[in-house]
Amino acid sequence: MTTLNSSWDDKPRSCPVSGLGAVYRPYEHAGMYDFFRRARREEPVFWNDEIRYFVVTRREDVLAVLADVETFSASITLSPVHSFPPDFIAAMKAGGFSFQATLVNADPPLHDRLRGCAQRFLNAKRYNTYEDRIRAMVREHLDRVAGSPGFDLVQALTYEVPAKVLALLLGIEDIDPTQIKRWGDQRLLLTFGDLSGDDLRRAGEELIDYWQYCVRLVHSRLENPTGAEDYPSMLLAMRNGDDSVLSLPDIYGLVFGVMLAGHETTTNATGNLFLTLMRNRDEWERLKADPSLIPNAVEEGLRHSSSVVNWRRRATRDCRIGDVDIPAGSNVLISLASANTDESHFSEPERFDVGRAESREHIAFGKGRHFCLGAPLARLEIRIMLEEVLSRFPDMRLAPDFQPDWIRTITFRGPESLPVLTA
Amino acid sequence: MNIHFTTPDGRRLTCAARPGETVMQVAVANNIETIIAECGGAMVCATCHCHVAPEWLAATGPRGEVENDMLDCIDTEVTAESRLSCQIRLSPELDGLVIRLVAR
Repeated sequence: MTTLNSSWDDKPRSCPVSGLGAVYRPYEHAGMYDFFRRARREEPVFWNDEIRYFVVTRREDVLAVLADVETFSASITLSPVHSFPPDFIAAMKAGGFSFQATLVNADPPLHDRLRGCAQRFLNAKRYNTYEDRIRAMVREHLDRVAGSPGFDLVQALTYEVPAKVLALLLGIEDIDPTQIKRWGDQRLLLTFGDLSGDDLRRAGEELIDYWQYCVRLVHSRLENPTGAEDYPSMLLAMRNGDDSVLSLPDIYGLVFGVMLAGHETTTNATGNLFLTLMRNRDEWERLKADPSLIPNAVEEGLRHSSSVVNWRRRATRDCRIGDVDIPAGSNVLISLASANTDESHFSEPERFDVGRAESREHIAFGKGRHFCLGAPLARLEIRIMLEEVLSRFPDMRLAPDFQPDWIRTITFRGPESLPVLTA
Repeated sequence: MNIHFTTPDGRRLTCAARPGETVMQVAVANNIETIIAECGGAMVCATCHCHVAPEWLAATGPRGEVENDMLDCIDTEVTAESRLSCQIRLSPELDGLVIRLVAR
């Protein structure tokens, strides 16, 4: 277990805000769970001046925010944590990028219209049809490192597989999965990080590339219908020329959105699960002895080490969260990671237990109207990766003295590398 | 009022309920395992799928349009008795309702 380290000391570093808000380091991942444990006890809802958000840490309060879609708008979900400079926005618009809301950051009625269409494709029944192909893909990746005494599990497996699965959904055969990852990485840093200067400009250029790729993909399906059952083709078929069902910009946004939603989160969740299993050897051995525990281990990984640690809402009216008055227009950061380790709901929440009865009561995929459409796919992919690695490398262990590096965002958490030894 | 849940392995669980609650809410409050209800009743996850006992189909009424669409997309067994339990709101007339749980 990590402890409060020097970066989380009690010295305020920006404005003289009292309480825990002055201690919170929204971009720092080492020590985060210890900090949230303290926050749930001492100040479960607090203001942080660095990002200018109210931060909500108790499960009960997080659920209340997610449930009340009228008071807490999703419109802010994809907005940059730090506002973009006007010249940057102008450059993005000039590059054709649309700031129009898509599924994840839309409120009703737009959200419900888009969701009704998207989930006719993005659902468990369809995802299950990919199982054999995903397993073959995972085996192919593991074949490449079989025989090697050690490798980076992220690079060898978890980084690319989710991107390739997305390519399957989108019916794309001619893309380098690392290109999807590069776009996604830049997108994350742009929205949930704190880029500036040239880093910001470069990320913006990548984003325009990414957007234009999605637009071209939709138009190629529109102009040359393949009859294939891929996501853009199905959306175009549902649209059937009727903009009131779906407009073309709606479809660009949905395709663009799924490309982001579908890989980084799964890469990170899988990396977190393997890291946690390697650090809890007894649990790894339990899975080897009883593979029927694997589906629950996937849930426990999502609960114990969520890949989406925080999510965002904006108050549309004056309200209260816990004992704190929240003025209309305030930004609210809800900590899913904290909710998933809230001791009022999970006994010994920091213990990783693949047999835990209430593992699936986590809210790693959110809760309510915006519940993650990709959840069954993520579960499928993570389960397959775990099954295959367990059977191929039953003695796998973490490289000695390994300490993870985390991507610098307020939202996503996952190890950037995971060096393992298999011999 | 009470409603009854029957499990795929033949057990019968009787739960106290109040008019106005949904079947999903009663199931969740009573830790009925196969009713997961991840979206909390927003009708977007279909993890609260259940079967209504045939003799109760008329009383529980027809499925809604969105509910039908959701049932088209799930990976558990869908039959003419299939409902999303978050969409069955209890009234005094449903006292004694029998819900068959679906194996996951």
